[in-house]
Amino acid sequence: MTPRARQVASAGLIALTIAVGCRSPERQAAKAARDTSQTAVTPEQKQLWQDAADKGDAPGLQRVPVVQDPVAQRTRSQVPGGQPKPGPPITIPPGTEHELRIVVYPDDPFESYTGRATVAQIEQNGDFIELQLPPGAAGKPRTLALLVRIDTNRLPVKVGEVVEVAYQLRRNPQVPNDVIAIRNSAGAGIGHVMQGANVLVQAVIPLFALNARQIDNQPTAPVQFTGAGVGPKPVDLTVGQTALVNGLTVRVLGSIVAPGKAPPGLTEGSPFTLNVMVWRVP
Amino acid sequence: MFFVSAVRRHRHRPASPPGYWLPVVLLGAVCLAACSETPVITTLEPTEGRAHDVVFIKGTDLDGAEIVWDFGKPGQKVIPGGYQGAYMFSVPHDAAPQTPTAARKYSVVVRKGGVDSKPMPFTVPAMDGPDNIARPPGPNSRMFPKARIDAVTLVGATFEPGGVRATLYVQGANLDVGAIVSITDNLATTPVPVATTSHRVLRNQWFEVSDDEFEYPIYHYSSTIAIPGLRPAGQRIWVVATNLDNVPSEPFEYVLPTDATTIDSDGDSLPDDWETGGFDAEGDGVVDVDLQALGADPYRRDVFVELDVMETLKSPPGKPVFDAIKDMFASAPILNVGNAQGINLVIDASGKPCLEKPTGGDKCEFFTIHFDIGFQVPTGEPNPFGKPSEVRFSTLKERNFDDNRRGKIYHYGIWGRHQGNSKSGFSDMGDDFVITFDELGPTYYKPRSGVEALAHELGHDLRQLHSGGADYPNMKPNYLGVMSYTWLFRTAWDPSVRLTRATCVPMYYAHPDAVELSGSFYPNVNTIVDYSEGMGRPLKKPTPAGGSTSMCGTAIDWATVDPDALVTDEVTDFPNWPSLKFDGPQGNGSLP
Repeated sequence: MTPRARQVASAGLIALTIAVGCRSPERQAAKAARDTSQTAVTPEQKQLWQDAADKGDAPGLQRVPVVQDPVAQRTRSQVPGGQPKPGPPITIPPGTEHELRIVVYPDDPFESYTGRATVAQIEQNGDFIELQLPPGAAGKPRTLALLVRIDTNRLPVKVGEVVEVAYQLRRNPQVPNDVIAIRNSAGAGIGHVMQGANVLVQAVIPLFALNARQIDNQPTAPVQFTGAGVGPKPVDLTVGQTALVNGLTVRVLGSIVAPGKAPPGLTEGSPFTLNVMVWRVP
Repeated sequence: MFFVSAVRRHRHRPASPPGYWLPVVLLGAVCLAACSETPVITTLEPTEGRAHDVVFIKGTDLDGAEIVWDFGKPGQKVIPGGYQGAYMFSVPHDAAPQTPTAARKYSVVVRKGGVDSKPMPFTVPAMDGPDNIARPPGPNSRMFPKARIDAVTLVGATFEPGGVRATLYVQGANLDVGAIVSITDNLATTPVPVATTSHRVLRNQWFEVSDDEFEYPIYHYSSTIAIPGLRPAGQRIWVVATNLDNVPSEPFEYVLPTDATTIDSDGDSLPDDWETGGFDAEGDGVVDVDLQALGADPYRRDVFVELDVMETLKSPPGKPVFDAIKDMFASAPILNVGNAQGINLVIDASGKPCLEKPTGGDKCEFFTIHFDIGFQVPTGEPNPFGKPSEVRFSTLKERNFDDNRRGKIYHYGIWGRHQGNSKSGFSDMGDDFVITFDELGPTYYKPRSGVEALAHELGHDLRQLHSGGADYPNMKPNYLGVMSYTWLFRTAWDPSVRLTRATCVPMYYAHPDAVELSGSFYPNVNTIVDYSEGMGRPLKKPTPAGGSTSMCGTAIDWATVDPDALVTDEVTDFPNWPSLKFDGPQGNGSLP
């Protein structure tokens, strides 16, 4: 390497070293603090920023962008009211043994009904049963369609047949008060009742001559079933238990009681809820 | 070797400057003066306003410039601007109309290098400001609220034997441009001012609701950069922001970082190391979760959610729901060092909650979920393949959530059909939640119900409650957010329920004219999905001496607000956004 080339290379290296040094985060942060000092309004703030620059007190300041349009308008997230695209039709998955599900609701879904209904349509190998209910308060006929399966069997009904049905939807999302039940003329059928309250729950299970009640506010306390459906002797079941009495199967899907005060946040809606299912196999 | 050579060469250079040195410097100085740019204000936005109003300056060559208020008058003064430039200002607190009935025009000038821009007029109107827009009132009417610090985060920190030097990002509500941050490590002593500069401002939005409905109207949010200097690592400090009128905020507690390896700059319980270098669950040098690739930013809070959606739902959540809740978090009133506002919510909804059937294959839909974490433990053993199929939340989580890799980062949720407790959702107040409103009927089958349910249960995971600081009363008309039972599913209810649950209806529907005639929801408008900002006025429980009877014009049914008759005096709002707790996944759902 010639002396001249060495000179040029040395100068270049020094320039590079200085340039890198000048661009170190610490130096950039100090420069940003000095620049901020220049635009500070009071002597005290000017001095504080100058001190911050001199002492290296402002780490990361070089990352703060100088924003020339620093004023923005808050826009709250808004959700349109449109309906979602209808999904694929709901069916009962293979292997399901018990199912009771509403797939078509009356026009006024909050108008409850208990009584006779006519089978208007049967689809999906008998799983889908469309019922025609008598006109409601609006004077128009009402349609209710259910998916029904009882112990791997369809509920044996025919188009035009009259069945008994009970339907009720909770008006208050935090207080369960839901009933759906169907029974054919032979007495076979299925029912699902959810109810909530601020005290121990007592629920009527329509179409099956049954009552259910929480008898104690201990978490392990059973739910007691009474009424003609189970005969003269009450049946006590805890959550997850099933019993077959007089041909009627009853199961407790859930029973929540409030034994004292729940920790903050671990309560949602009614402190007492009862959730039971009954069925009579065709 | 090159360096030595260069030094040697330097030794042979003349000690005195060359002869052309002085002319070059003089020429440079002349050029500097001559070439100084003249700052220009093209617009003040707005052109009129009241004390504390934030004014945005549009123009050119505003960097490094200062702002002169009331230019050319005896009251002329330099006022604080934005960060390193004259980009914005707060109207001085002593700015007033000429007389109670005559507006006053002020001149605003931007000065740079001794060169002034052309003056731009700014008017302080005579009349009190309208009370239905998010702009400060006049000095003769309602008091401007004191600043409220909502968060302190880190811009940077360096450690040395003597402690830590940190650059803080202090943000909150109603901070003036030019608010000064003071700090103390002992509340018994007066906080000491530190180097402070304003950075960003976010104006608020009220949908023309009168600020009479608010006890703490938030006209704007803003952020400042503050330099506390060298302090002991891990020191607990209290931060105060003092506005231009010398009114201080309440102290905000903050703990300085303890060491470089555990720094969590944005306070989202995800260490910066994870957010930049990824999370290595096994410590084997292999990154298991690349947070940065998922959009994580160590200077913006991130929330990660894995949400498994059951098959055969009548109303499965889709892109509109996920986009809306991400937008809710992204538009949170939280300012960040970088340009993106709010919180980065990442949702992985690619999976399903499945179990392997005894006969082979997967089953991904169950009649009933038992949320068995925390308080709600069923006593029976559910059979996911029984009659009817029931399953514990924990069983599904164990099979479908990679707790080892994701457990410290992600919240886990299941969107299912129905719960054993018959409720529309539940959370463990930490990192698990379930959403189950699929059987509640067709009025719920729309994106807004899905967004509200998800925001509500995730809000519980972020440790927000139905009543702010408590669970009761859970239908407060002045708690303006989706954690309240007055907002959750509001458009899905039966009209009779809406009639009993008062809220600030225009705020919920994002429309100044919104009303719920006979309980019917207000049609053809959007709804807001948001957490409360803590603005609402206290509502006095009625006594023979009087009490609050309405909120934003909607009648209050106190039997609904306080069914257990536990409220003795009043119900108050609560700010959710500043109160979010992000440590649920780290704590594995443990309660506070």
